[in-house]
Amino acid sequence: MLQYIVTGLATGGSYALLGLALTITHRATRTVNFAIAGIGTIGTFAMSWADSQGLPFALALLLGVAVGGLLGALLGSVLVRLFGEASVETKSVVTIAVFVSLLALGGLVWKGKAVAVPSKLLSPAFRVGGTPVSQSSVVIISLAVLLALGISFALSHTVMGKRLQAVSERSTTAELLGIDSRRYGLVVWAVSGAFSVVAIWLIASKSATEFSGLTLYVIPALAAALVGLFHHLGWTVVGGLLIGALRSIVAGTDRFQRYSSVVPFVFFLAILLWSQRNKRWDESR
Amino acid sequence: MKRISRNIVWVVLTAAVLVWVFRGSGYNQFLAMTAVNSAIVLLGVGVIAGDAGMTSLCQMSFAAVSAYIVIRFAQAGHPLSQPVEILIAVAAAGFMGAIVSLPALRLRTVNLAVVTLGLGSTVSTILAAWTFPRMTEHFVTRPGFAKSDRGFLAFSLVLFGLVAGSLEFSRRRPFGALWKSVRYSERATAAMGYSVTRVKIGAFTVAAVISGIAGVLVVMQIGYADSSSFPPLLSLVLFAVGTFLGVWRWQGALLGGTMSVAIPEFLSRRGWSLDYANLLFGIGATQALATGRAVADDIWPQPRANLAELQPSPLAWQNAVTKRAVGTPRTEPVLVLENIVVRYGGVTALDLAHLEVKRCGLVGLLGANGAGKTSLVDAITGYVPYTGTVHLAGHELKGPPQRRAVAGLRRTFQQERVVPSLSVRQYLSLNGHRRLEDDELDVLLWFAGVPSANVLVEQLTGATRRLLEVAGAFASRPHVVLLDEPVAGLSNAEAMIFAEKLRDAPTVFNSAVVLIEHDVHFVRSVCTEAVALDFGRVIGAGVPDELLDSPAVRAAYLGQLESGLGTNLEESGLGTNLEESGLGTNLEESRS
Repeated sequence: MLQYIVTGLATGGSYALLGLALTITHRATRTVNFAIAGIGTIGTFAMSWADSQGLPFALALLLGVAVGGLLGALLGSVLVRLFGEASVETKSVVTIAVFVSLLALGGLVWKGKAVAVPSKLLSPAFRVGGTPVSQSSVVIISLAVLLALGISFALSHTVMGKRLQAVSERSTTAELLGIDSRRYGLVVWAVSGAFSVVAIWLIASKSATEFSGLTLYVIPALAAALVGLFHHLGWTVVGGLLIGALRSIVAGTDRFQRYSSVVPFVFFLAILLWSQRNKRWDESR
Repeated sequence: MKRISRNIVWVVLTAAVLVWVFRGSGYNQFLAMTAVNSAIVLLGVGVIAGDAGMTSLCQMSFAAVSAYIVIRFAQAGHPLSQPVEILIAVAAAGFMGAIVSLPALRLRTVNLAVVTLGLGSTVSTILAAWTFPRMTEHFVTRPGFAKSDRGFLAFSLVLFGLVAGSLEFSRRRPFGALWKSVRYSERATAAMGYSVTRVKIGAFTVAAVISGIAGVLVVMQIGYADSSSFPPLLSLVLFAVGTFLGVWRWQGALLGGTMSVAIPEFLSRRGWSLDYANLLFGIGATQALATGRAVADDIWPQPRANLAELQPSPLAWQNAVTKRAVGTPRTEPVLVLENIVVRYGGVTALDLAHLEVKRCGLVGLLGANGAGKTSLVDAITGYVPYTGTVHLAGHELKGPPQRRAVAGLRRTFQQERVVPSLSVRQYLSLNGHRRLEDDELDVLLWFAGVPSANVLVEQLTGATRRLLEVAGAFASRPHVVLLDEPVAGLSNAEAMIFAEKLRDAPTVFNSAVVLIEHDVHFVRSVCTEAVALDFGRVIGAGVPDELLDSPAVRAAYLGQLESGLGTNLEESGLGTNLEESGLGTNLEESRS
């Protein structure tokens, strides 16, 4: 049991990181980005390619993260330019269409083949009750926690953070105050794209996976972000870790092994039903 | 002329394709069956995403579920007759659709996209784990009259026609028109007396049933299927195809089905990757979202009536005014409010001890911004929680907005919420909860100043839409109609013409009217009684002219001039009221 939880938490760290990427994009730009894992996968595969060309690992990782950031910014600029005033729904639907395009793009470039991704830090950092905890697990979980804390702090305590808040809550008013909301939006899009590369890399480094399989990690990421209601960074991390651990426990049982990917869906249902228990009339509708 | 010749081109083109398919090899017919199948699924996408504006990313899962059930029945040696088995399978898909819509009923529809994406992968996981039953001897057979490939293709086409036809029929009825209404405004849908929940579940169920039909056809086409016949990512692609082409029109669905088979076929014959097709659909969908126009909207634009040629007729209205019930007792109260208190957090927005509206009365509700007028309307129509009691025609009103609307308490909104994609006739019939007779329609049309019931709401000016919303509120002849600033945005001349009609409205429609308006001139010329609110309390009531001259009301509107301190005015928040109250000299300006 403990063993499953420990391995599950490592995957959960990746869900948490992807969930964080979704949450900050939603907070800053009012968009649920369904293409997030697609962006992360392209970045990761770019990194794998760079690695195979003999580039040092650190440079390859940097390149992958840069590709993710660039793709994120590209998607962000399309949304800002063409859908600046559109509703959450429309902007999110656009990311679904972009997701379909990315899937096709991935199919064209990598032709459905499984791609091996360079893995690092797999040696155990320490042991919990006899179960080795790899260094990468330690890194990913602490990264998610630190990022959640850091971003929360930055949002409420720095000028840039406050401007971001202003942009996210009343983008027109923020512009009237002289804040360039497009630029702030783009920064968030780029950062979330970069996050997603790190998250997908850590998932992919465990076993070679093909493109579309990796893009579907958007589902547990959405579940994690839902735990934080697309707003609370801390709860998003908790949600990601919880889903990772639960999924691992379910996968460890003989009977329900095959249903482990159902776990995030059960989460969706529980959270949505709970969060709308006394929903009132929303002015915008 | 242009439209007719274009339609001829399409008919000829379709006929040519059909001839090529039916006269060609079995492979042609196989491709065409797949196209028709996709077209049927796309019809469902059109309902859910196009009409109702909800994002569903699991339409193929519904098809998978019905396919699975049909195969199970076949494997068990057909315990029931095949039509019954198919009905059960399709109904199961519909039931699943209804269940899936539940978690997202009261939330933003983007959550529905999240749920359905999760469901798509879940269903695929479960069905892959259960594995579709192995087909050894019991294959699913085609119906007797459609054994051959040609016959089965014809059968599929007929089914497509039936589904498309019933959807077109539904869209002309309240059942389907409400999908558009929910998409445009949930509040307005409830204000017309319809349950938003029910409409959404209905749309989802219909779309799932349609997918279920397609699922059965997939199985019959080849005799069996497995979970790989319904990949969850295909649902996303179909969603993109639907958005790109505009499948809320049957033509768009047929085009989409054809393209989703023809393009991959073209690519594979050239040895090119099929991914180019999905790339095209993804980019096309983005383009359609950016321009707000799908392909079908451009190829088959919706016919529009020519407004300039239409003249409304005053006859029906004049008849109604002369025939109206005279001598009905007007003293009995129809709406009685007791101790209505509305709080937003710690702020008491409204604290109303007692208010009565008489049958067929015309009461003006006056007050500055923040006086609690709209809070009062929102509370008693069920949109904002409150304490206290509301009695309408002797019965206590409780429950959600739609129940209050049906009971006979109607309202309009400060920002008009008339569904633009409906025709005026559809909009008024939805409001009336029945098919309106021609002379009833004529009365409402003249009242709102709309030239014909056949124009689309989106063809009307903003000012006319406001009045159409008011006419809609009267359409069911409710006990009481609450009008929230109906003449905001109208010119003075338009407002005065409307004032004259509104004075007759209570006796024509047998409804009392409560009018919220900043335009004091309008209130004076329409209302027989007026109530003044300030900071949530009644500060005076009576005949409008006298009330407006009373010191308390003047003080509330103009500020305590005797205090002599300009800062006091600002602190009390009354400083800005002069202009908005319409008491300033420039009436025109205050209205714009």
